[in-house]
Amino acid sequence: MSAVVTMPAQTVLHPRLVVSVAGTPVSAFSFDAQHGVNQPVGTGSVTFPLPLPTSLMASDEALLNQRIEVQAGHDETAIRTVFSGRIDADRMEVDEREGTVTLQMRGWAALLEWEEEADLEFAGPIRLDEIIRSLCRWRGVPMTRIDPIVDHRNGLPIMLGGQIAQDEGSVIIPRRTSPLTWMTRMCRLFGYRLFDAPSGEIRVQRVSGMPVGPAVATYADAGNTFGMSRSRDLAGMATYWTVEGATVTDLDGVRMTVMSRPASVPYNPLLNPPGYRADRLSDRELVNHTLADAAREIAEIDHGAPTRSLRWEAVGDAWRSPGDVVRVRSHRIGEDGLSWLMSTRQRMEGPEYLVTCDAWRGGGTALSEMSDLQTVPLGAGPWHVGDEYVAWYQRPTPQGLFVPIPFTVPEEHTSVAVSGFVQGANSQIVNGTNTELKVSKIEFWQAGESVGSADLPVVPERTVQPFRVPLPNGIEAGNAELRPTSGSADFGNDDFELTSLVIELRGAGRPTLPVPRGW
Amino acid sequence: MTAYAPYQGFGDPNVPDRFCPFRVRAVNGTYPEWEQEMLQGTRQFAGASSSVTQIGGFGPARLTLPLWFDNHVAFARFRAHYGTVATLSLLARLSNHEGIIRTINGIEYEQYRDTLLVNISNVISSVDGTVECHATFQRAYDPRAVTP
Repeated sequence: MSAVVTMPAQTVLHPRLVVSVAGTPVSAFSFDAQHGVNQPVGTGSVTFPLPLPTSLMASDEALLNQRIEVQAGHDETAIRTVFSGRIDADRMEVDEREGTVTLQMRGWAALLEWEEEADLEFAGPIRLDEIIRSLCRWRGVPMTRIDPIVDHRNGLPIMLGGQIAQDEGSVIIPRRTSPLTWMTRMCRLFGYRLFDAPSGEIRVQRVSGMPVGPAVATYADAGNTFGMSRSRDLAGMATYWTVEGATVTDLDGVRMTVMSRPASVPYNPLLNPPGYRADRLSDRELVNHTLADAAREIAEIDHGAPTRSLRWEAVGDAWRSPGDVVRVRSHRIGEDGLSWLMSTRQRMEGPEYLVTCDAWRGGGTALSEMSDLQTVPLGAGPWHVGDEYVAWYQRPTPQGLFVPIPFTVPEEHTSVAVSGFVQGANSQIVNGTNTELKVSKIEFWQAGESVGSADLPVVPERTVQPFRVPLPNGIEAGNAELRPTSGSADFGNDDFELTSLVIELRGAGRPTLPVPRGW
Repeated sequence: MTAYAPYQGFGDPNVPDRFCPFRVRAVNGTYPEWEQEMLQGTRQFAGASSSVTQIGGFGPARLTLPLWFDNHVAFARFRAHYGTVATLSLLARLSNHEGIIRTINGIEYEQYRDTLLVNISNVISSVDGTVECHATFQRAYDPRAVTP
């Protein structure tokens, strides 16, 4: 069988480089610019012959921190901005033959870096992309392209804050925290990235999982690349994610940690033994289960498969930017699919305009959520606590001034609460009128000792209302006892009745994990 | 055989004090040609027989002429222009570059402005007082910009 031979072709291109410094065009020897979705601030350097125009040599301020724009491309395709930013540093060198100056430059995302001395507060709930837009406007970022940041599951906008128990519902970037660091962390949780693009805009877009076409370019071995490599690595792979969010105390006084875990973790032969790998992330900005679940699924999607990185070198393309969806093809490597363009290094060396690209794609699968709330019914009851016969109770005859109700506290949990229905607690009818008290409570006992208590709400006689109280922090895993306890008041002990008692557990239990095979 | 034309030289042809005439030793009645490198990089695409050539432009054009001066004074005046940019004036149509043609005393000269005297080498002083050398001139030139 004869091999298929493609007719060779010779392509001739004419590269161009145009650099302006503080609005002054300056002829350059070379440039080198780096941008990436995981590198928020673009960086680069440009080399010029000495002397620079007089206007740029007059003082430090004439050159340093001045705006610089680099445009590159080919006559045959396009000449576009491939770097926009400010000059951070310069180095001038002279020897027996020539004098050159090399400028180091940084992109506009650097405007978002420096820390404020005061907290930055946003009233919640508020869209994450709106926070980013506000900060970019406030810091004078010249150009932005901020895609809506949405929950990948349903397209609804990601809303932060709104949890009254935390910062009164506000979103706070603490003082001496870089807004850029905070924003990139938030974006990453939900599968987005914030980064400088070669065009000069700050971009916020999804970079997560498998990219969805169409591809803006195809790079092919035996096509338009000078060399290509692919690496796959199990090291960054994790299939069992636990996500912890904010720890808040709700209106009932129950202290809860927002948590999201998968219901079960499938077996993965690449991680055998044990067939899975666990990891966790935590962030206090995840103030509800919706956010925590979204973050968990993104982590599963992005890290649930081997880290797959591609790299190649090609003719420079002024249209290319990190975040692009590209098709990469190599029969020799066994690659043919869409990838996210993660980083570009564009440079002009002599007559050649070249680019080195890195690409990646996620290959994991989101898993179903394990319900964070588990309930353990203690029974329908009723339990009549007190010392009086009360005709309108389901159980008119009292069971005593306290009623022991056993239950078991699980090993692992982030919060435990008791809920149910109550009638007549902390209330006595005196001269025909309901009078409020504050004497009756639920006590918690372990190993023959009281470990804490919680007041019952005031509920008038002949009125049944739901209630919910937290267990004390001192309670340990193992056997325990609820003791609804009647308190003493001016006109005798307070009688009350409880029904449908339930223990509410959060953070308890574990996902179903796979069993190692063949070991 | 040498070619003699009194307005061949280097400097400012409009100011006699700043113009250095010289003689060119023409071999077989011809002058050397301007030489120039095309700045390009050619790379092969991996796994293919195709390639891409990026042409950055053209390097400076250079012309090396064997020169002859009547005496040391004339040579010294010429040498004083070493490393400077001025006008190179040669007999017309003996070079592969296009310059401004001027007719002086019935002889046509071709003038190349903004030319750098970039090298003087092989200086030989003869007992009769004449001085010979090789001089290299350099100018920016893009053959694509010339209208035929």
